[in-house]
Amino acid sequence: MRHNYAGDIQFKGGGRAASEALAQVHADAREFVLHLDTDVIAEEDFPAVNVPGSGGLRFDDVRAAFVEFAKHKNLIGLDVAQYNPDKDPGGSGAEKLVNLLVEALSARLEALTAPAAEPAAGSEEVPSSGTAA
Amino acid sequence: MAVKIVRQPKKIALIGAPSSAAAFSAGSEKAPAALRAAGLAEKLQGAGYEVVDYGDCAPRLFAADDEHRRARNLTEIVAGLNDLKTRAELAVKSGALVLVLGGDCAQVIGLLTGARRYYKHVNLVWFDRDADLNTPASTPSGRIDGMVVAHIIGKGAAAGARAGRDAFRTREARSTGAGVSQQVADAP
Repeated sequence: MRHNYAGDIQFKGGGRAASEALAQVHADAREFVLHLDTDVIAEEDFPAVNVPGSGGLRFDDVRAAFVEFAKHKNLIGLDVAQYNPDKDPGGSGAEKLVNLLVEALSARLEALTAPAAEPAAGSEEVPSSGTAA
Repeated sequence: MAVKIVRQPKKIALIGAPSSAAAFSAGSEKAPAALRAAGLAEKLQGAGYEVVDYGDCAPRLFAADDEHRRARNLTEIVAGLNDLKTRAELAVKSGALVLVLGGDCAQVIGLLTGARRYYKHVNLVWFDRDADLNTPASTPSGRIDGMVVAHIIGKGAAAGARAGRDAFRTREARSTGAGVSQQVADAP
């Protein structure tokens, strides 16, 4: 198990830190799942979480990292947790989270369907890394 | 019998997991509905995805459960994870990217378990303010959300660790720490 601490992520920037984390999990060779706890976002940028507190990353770093994770072909699933609508009466938190998801997944779609990555004509399939049980 | 998963890059499988049973407070069980109401599926479709909605699991609600102060609501949590696992298996098999709308942090176990039905090796990237490595012995709250990763690596309460072991096997954790924002586990 490897840990990447907030200070390091802030220093490197979210995108670069995420890229390094993907290398740590050998993402090029193995499928992975991403867990996004929304309290990783600094409270001043996203307060509508179950347990607000200090220690989160600024939204731009979270976004950069999340986009980097989402773009990877071996991401097979993700969950988004801890957003609490009771703390978001106006719905701005939901909108922000939806926009973040759409931005990251749009980047994924672009990355996976770019001309250089396209499979043979007539097929939209992406081969797995071959570790199906 | 081995099943070949053909991944579909333009497809998203959406699953709602309205659970606060593992959480430190109520409210997160409302998140799937709120995100749907904010137009998540429609915006993903607008971005070019085909979105297949597998619906929501049954709600699992926050409760005090003072009878089990070191692992609260575990029965309810595991029941919810089994529900999610069933949906996640179908979603993973379809080849779509599976997007689970939590809910509390424990829901990732249901997703992992579903993925493990078809992928022998699945790694986990944990993007969180907290390491969630408390165990029933160390927890100050008894809330499973503070112990999710511990359960994934088999160090939590028995019922939860069984669910976690079904989802994931890892090497021994080499370190713990506070203020972790990303944490990576390698499957053998």
